[in-house]
Amino acid sequence: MDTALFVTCLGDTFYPDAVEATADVLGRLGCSVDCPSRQTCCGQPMFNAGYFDRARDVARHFVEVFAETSGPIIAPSSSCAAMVRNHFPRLFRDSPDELALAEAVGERTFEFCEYLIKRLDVDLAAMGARFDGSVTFHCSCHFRELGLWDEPIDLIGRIPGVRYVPLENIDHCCGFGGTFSVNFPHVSGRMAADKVRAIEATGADWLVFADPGCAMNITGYANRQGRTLRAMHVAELVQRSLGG
Amino acid sequence: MENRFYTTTQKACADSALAEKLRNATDRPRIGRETICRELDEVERFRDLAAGLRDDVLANLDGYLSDFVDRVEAAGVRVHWASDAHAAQRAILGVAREQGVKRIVKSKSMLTEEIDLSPVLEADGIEVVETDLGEFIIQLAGQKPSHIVMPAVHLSAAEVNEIFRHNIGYRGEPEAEALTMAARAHLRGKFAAAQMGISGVNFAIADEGAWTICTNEGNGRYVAGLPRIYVAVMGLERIVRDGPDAAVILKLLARFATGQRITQYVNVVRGPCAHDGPEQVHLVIVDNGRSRILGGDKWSMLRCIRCGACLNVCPVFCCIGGQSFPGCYSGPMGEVLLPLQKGLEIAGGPPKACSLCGVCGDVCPVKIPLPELLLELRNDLAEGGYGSAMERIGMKLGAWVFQHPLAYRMAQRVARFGLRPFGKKGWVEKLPSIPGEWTRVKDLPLPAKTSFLSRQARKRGKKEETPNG
Repeated sequence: MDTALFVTCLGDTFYPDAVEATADVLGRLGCSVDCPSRQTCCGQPMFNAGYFDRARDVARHFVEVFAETSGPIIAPSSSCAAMVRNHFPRLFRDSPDELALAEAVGERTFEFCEYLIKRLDVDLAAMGARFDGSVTFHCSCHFRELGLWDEPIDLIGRIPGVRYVPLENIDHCCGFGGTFSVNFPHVSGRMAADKVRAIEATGADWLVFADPGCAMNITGYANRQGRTLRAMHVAELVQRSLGG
Repeated sequence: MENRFYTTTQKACADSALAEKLRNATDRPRIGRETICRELDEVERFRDLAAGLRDDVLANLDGYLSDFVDRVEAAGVRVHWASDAHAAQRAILGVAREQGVKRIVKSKSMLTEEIDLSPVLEADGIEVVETDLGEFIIQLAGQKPSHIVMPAVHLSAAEVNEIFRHNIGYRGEPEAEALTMAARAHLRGKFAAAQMGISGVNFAIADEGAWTICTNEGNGRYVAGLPRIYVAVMGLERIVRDGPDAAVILKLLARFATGQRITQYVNVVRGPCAHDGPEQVHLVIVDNGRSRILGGDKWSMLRCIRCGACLNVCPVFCCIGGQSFPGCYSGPMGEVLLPLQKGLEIAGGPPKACSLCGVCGDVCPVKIPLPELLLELRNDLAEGGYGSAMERIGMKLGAWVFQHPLAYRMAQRVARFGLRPFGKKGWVEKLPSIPGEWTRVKDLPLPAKTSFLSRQARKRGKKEETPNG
């Protein structure tokens, strides 16, 4: 299967290992992974801040770059996948040609766990996967927006050896929200505090995340409080379980 | 406004007892809603039905309103149309003056908060007593509601005890039941002495010529039935077509507001009656921006039935409470409604005080697309030039960089080298300007030494250099 890797700007800049793991896992699952070198960002920061014109310019670049790829476009981020799939149509609603292109790209866009579970239905045990350790998982808000729910937990559960410890209020927002985190830092910090408290209460060895934005927010808050959270992207967990 | 909102949210966040109280108080109706909605095996169908019937009303509002008004007028109700808050205040004050009213009892009504009614009546020498327990408490405390359904949700029993001691001479135990009984005893006398009762309207039923008041304390029926004059105040969108439609809304209202199947009391008012009840019944129908909202692109906000479910699930609301908001409405519905009513320049902050987690839209019983409306409002703010110059330049520059892959790579490098001097063990603790807002409460991870795309470019470069590679 041909796939295209949607690196995401936060993943690219702050979590290249997570992106690398995404590409690596897709490769091990028999996918060829095309990584368009001219990709940048999907425009979500501008869109969420209300600057739809600016977001449209960035989205247009994204669509141009990814229109040249074929097959599913996989992102190690639910929020970036949701931006492309759910919000690009709003940006191009007044321009039918661009809308059609954007929708075609959007329909091919998947979040990593979604693709592995719903499209590939991966059998990690058969591939010899194993990870010994306990993990908890923070479910980013955009899983809801993508109409997803337990795909990441399903994926984690398919790794032999993993002890999964459910996180209390698993789907409560961690307080990132893009520009929200700088417009209302104190509210954002309080939300992050609740999240960190819940994560620590699980006693799990690892926090597994699916969105770089949430990870920056949660670990950034924990670090400020002098607490170290061991965190990794769900793709890194799968990669490690496969001996990566 | 934005700065003031920033400051009030900052203050609210510093009050960790507040967050605890908000969490406890919103957990109950939230869990109640989740539990009781499981009984409605077709809750999604109900939500669709409710959204559809609200939309039908909004699309034909003039027709339903005139049918309704014809019927209630025929039943002897005196109808007053109020285009804005001042007109509504004047109408009610006019009735009070004409009838020589000196004592008023009120049941809980967010619309009377919206039009700031009580201060106007009080300035005229009229005693106004709130009779909903929560409203009574905050009235004594001189505060505004912290929640549209549970107005005193930010106060503990100990705090209520203090308020009662100072204001009504309470000397009992600082315990909820005893405090409630004290309020009850105090209010009985007020009901008996009042010459006018004022209530809101949960729903007007067009083809019945009737309206409903839902309460859990029974104060609504005293307010409507005991004093000589009864004034109901309704927003002009608070109307349903007929009885069966009203039943759908009532089923959802109590379930989504408090996790009840129905409120303890549902009063249906049809107007004055010769044998019993008030001599005069007045109905004040308030526009106050509603018809303007109806004519705009965010009219779906007018579906709102004021259940408060979106407040109970909102992580921002649960941190800051309703008193932080620049108006009587709060949480997601307030973040949308306040700027629509008061104008973007007055309420510029609220639509931004949202992490766009989307949970409000998922729980709304009438399926108002709250997250989308918040995004559209942010767009209105940006296009209206309400953003700071820094924000505008930042967005313009960011968008340009993201359209130019080389510039994007350069920007990453600049960020990495620029941040490095601030970094300690992979983290940045303090930054200036807008990024400094992040580092007020959190550390920022340093960008990776080599971005993923740069790694790829290097690999590609190597491949190209290697013959047969």
